[in-house]
Amino acid sequence: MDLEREVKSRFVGNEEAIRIMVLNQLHPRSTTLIRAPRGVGKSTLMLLMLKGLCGDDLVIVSGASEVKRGEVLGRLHIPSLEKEGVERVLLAAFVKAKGKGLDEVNRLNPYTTANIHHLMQFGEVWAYGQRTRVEDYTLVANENPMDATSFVHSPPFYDRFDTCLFLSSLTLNEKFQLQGLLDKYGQDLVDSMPQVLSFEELNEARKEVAHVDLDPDLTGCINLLVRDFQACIREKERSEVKPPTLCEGCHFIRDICGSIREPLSERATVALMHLVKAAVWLYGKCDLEEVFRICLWVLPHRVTLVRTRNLLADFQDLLERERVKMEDRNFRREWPLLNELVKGFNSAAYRLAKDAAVEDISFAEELVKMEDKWVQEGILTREETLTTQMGWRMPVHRRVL
Amino acid sequence: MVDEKFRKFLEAQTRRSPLRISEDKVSWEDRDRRLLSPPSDFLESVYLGKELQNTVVMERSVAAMLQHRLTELEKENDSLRKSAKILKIVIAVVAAATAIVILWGL
Repeated sequence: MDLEREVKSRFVGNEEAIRIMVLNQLHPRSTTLIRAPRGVGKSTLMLLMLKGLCGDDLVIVSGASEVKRGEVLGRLHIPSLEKEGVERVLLAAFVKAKGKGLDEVNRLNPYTTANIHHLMQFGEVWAYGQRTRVEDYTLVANENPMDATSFVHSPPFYDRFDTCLFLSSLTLNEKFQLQGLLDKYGQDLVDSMPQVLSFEELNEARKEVAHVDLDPDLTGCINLLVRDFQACIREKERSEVKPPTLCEGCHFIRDICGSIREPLSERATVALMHLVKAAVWLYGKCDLEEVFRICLWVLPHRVTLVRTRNLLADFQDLLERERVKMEDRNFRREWPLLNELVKGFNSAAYRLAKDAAVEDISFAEELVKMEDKWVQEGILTREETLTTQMGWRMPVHRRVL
Repeated sequence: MVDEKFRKFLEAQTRRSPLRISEDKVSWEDRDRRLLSPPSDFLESVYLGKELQNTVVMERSVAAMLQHRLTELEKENDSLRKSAKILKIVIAVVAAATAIVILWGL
């Protein structure tokens, strides 16, 4: 809370982005990406957050300058090699620092990016054949996707960022506020930022957040949301043909899945869980509305939409559709029906569940698995099942054998 | 095989919206249903006189409400038509009686 207040007192506008950024610090090896056009305050926000958490224990690697391997990972200690013939690696300050900043990630060369990708994925660095485990850290990066002098980094690299914050430019009133702040802090907002908590205190908080037990409703909502952004009756993950061509003639063409070209990875679920746990720990509660608000900062940078006009607006539309879908599921009592069917076959519940499954792919997947079991037990014939009646071809590897 | 956490989720959902199950029937009580879908502009055109767009998307509940209202209006129309018919007969009888009384007096 103090951190949020201190950052907000030095950064004008974008309050929701700052709130999410603070929540995202409350789990180990936190990574945040800030995306905005030039001059909106990406670097300032990055520095404010890192200073607030790590004080002076921070290192910034800038994509705008020439970055050598030794500056990111480490370099050989030449005297040891010459005198003793031993290869000793001097780790770079970036590896050792608690606060890691990447300025203008889009300009980082692919080799540097690959090393940082490895660090984010495995929590370790490799230099000169030596592997070094990296202690807990907080990493904040920023980029301007409109920048012409950019490298195109791979989607898995961006997927390693827990959240992606899109900053907007200042309104007229906010410009006056910024001038007031610059006057107050002598034109240097970052220098005036105090270290709000020590890294040890942050670690304690992170441990407490990790032990937060989430309500089954919230866990279910998160899993369902991610599944709805992944599910495809025609398996787009494995298909050579991608939407919209793949969706031609599909029963679910009007569903959310028809708007998504590359689906979400499971890291989206992990990131959402971290943020929701942090919200429960910090505010004492987290409802469905909050989950949907958080989604806007966790999902957009992980998926490719079939058509994008304005990524955030398009995503907001998709989330709104998802919200209606969830409401429809409650209205149809899909999950209570499935609960009944888990206990045992009931023809009346099965009929209703089948009706619902025709309009809900995530629900259909669960029902189809149960149908397979009932067919094996002789309760149903293959002709009576949803897959046969709808002409769906469910992947063999997902079937209950 | 259902995962334990998934089962807990299903049970939590069932506690929130319990079902009544008999051998050949499943039923439930529908309460506290909030409408979260985008509002239809159809009602705005009816009540606020706003111009309709080319395509009108309507939620099932809105369509059901309109259907209900149309049925009610039809019923009301029928009963008014019956009343009007009766009143016409009464007026005719009264007019005839008045005419007879007047003619009788002459």
